[in-house]
Amino acid sequence: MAAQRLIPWEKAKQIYGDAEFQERLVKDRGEEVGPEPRRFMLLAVKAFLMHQISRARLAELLDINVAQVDGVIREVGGAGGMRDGIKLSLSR
Amino acid sequence: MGSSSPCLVDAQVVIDGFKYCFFDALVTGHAIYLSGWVRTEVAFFVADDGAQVPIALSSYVETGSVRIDHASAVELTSLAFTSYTRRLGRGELECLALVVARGYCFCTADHSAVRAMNDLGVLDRWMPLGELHPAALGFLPASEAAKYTRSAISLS
Repeated sequence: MAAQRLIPWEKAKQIYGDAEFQERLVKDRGEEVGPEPRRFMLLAVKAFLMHQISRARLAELLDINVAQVDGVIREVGGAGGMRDGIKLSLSR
Repeated sequence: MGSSSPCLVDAQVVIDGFKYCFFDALVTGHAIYLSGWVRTEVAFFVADDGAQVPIALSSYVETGSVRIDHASAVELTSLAFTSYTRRLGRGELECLALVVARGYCFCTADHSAVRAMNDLGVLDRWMPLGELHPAALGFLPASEAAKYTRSAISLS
């Protein structure tokens, strides 16, 4: 919802940090528990590498500065780390 | 389209300009503009050792070598209900609004932004860094320089 600008990032972080919310995540989606949902990060990076979103948009989605985008991409192994055969597309 | 036309640059161009030391040359002899939001995005670059090096743009703005322009609410509204709001950052949206409404050129190496310019019928206002300031490419590592050329972006 924050990524869609429906709620502020601060509110999203507050909700994500809520103990009850995390407990529910443990039950339903254990792999997403932690300081940030890794799957979301990977999807966002993939969308950037596939030219579906811009560098600045990726920075907004990950709540980082544009200057830090290259570091995040290196962290996930670059374009090579994203070759899982899954294609992404956003409607025009 | 001459390189003397007022030209907006995106945050990555500024960041690379400071990191690879071509920013001073870029703003000398070119009318370089930043959108208000891009101005807020440019804070530091990441050096090779991982250190965050602050970017001091204020002196450039104060001396007028870099100018800041803001899109109006009406200009931004023209893009508000398009898919670009999902694909582009706020700074790029503001730049596009300014390009469409006021005829700026836009220097970016971002595929999504260039495709949006094509969709909006303002691709002739796209100014790759390699054409705006060819000497800048000489400051960049080859892998980085390649992204700033026209041929790096596929519109298909």
